[in-house]
Amino acid sequence: MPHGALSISASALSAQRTRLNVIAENLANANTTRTEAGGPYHRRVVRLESEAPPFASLLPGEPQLRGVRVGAVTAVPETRRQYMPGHPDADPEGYVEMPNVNPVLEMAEMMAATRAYEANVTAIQALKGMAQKALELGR
Amino acid sequence: MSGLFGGAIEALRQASAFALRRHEILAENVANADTPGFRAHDLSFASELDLARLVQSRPDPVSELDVRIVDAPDGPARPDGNDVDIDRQMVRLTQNAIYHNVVVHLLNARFNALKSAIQGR
Repeated sequence: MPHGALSISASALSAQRTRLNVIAENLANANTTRTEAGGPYHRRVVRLESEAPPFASLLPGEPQLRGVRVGAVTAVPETRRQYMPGHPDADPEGYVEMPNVNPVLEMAEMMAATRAYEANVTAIQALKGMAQKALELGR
Repeated sequence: MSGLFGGAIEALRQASAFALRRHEILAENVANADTPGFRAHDLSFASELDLARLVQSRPDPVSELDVRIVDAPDGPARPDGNDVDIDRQMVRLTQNAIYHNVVVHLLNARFNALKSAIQGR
């Protein structure tokens, strides 16, 4: 039973789920003008990077297959100014610093993450099918 | 290995191991479909001759197959340096699973033939 394939696909499931969580956070805070750090919310993006398996250095002969992990979640420090006089956070001219979240972009990103998640689920199911078929040997 | 389980059965065992190993490589590609800078890999026989010999499962002893991990770009790399095409990878994944099922089916057929010979009915 190849442990490698399962843990590789599992690492991708976890990474894509984190990506979805960050997208959800962006969408939820699309209109947040005040945060703990002060100022409006900044949209965040994940950086995916490939990850060598644990103890890889102990097995020098074997070519190492890489899973994926979220390397960093970084904020994009941009805002846009919107004219909203009377808003509690408006400046004297009536402008409010709003988050730079673009819902269309976030939705597209969300679909990409969902599809990537599904692709990895399919890979796991293919492996499961192969393993189950192999168990039928000699029946 | 020779004798009762040599020849075809040994060849099919290797084919099955190849399919499981190839699944790992393809799963790696699918997992890293969005990783910047990742290059697609595949597992291949050193030569088509190996594959042909495996399929025909010649009675002469089958040596351990020479398989290796190769770079298998699905096309030119995207601007982020990744050259995985998720659709092609999913097709390969499915092909490989079907190939494995075929191999297991053939193995079963061989085992059943042995069984009937042993039981004499």
